[in-house]
Amino acid sequence: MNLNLILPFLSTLIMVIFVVFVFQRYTVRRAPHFLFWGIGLAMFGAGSFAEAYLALAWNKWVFFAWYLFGAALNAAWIGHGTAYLMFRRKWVHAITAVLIAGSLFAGYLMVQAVGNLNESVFTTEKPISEQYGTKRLEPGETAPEGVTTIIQEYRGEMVETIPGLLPLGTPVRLTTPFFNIYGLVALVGGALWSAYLFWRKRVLPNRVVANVLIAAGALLIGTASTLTRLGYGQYLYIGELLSAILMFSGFLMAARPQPAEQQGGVPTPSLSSVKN
Amino acid sequence: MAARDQTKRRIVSKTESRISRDSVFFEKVVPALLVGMAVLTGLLILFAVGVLVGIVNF
Repeated sequence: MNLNLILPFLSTLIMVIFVVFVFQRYTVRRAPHFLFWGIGLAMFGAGSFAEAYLALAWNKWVFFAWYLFGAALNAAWIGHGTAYLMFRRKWVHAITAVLIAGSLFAGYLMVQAVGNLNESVFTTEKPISEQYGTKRLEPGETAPEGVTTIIQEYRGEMVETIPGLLPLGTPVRLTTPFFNIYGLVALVGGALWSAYLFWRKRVLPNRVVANVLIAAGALLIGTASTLTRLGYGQYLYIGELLSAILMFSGFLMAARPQPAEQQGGVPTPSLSSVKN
Repeated sequence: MAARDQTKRRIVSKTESRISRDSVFFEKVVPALLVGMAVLTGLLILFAVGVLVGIVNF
């Protein structure tokens, strides 16, 4: 049983169902937050599918999709949907322009990176999250047992590295923190703030729990991605699966109407991370 | 009879969509989770900023 294949496949399956749910709501409501959530979640699903594919075979365009959609963009696009619920539309529209331009720029950098991939290091025996980046060893740091290192010139000095698919200093890797900081602040911040508002007003307990689940799911994948950047890529796939389960559960719970909402018995706070 | 059922249903509905003050989950667990997750969010943002400014090597 290959967990590198099964976990991303399960994440993809959950994301496909999740995306269908969100786009169904978008077709009914035409609200922009559903559109951005749907696009972001579809990117998440594309990243998971790419992981499953790369556990079987190599394809540089699948790797392109994995890095661009799975590692760089998805959090920002999901979080941007939440921003539409929190701030004035004219401001969020301006950020939309920046997000689209930034995403296109990251796509351009990724196209350039695809031309310089060190494909010789690829193996289906390791998850892609453990072989995508070239890691520079600090002075005194030793590579794990059995791992090959090379000495290469980098910015005028000779450094020891563990080679990965993306060469050292690949520019696209510098774009991911921008997208992920925005995604984390908007998605987790929005969910925590919504949960706090409902909790403070002591109404709609289902939405308190739903927002806690959404925030926990987003934080889980954020933590797993951070660990991956630090060289601990083995937690990424299980993190993605649990994140997909938690966020989907939160979405379903928040989307379920409360009896008092149907009757207009309890005022609903103006801010919610999921509006029906 | 129908009116009495409707009144009863409305009372039950209002109770279901209010957070009880006796709930240990909502009084203790939820606030702890919110604070804990806010702290973790701050740490992850600091890490990402560290990557951007070159403090964190990757």
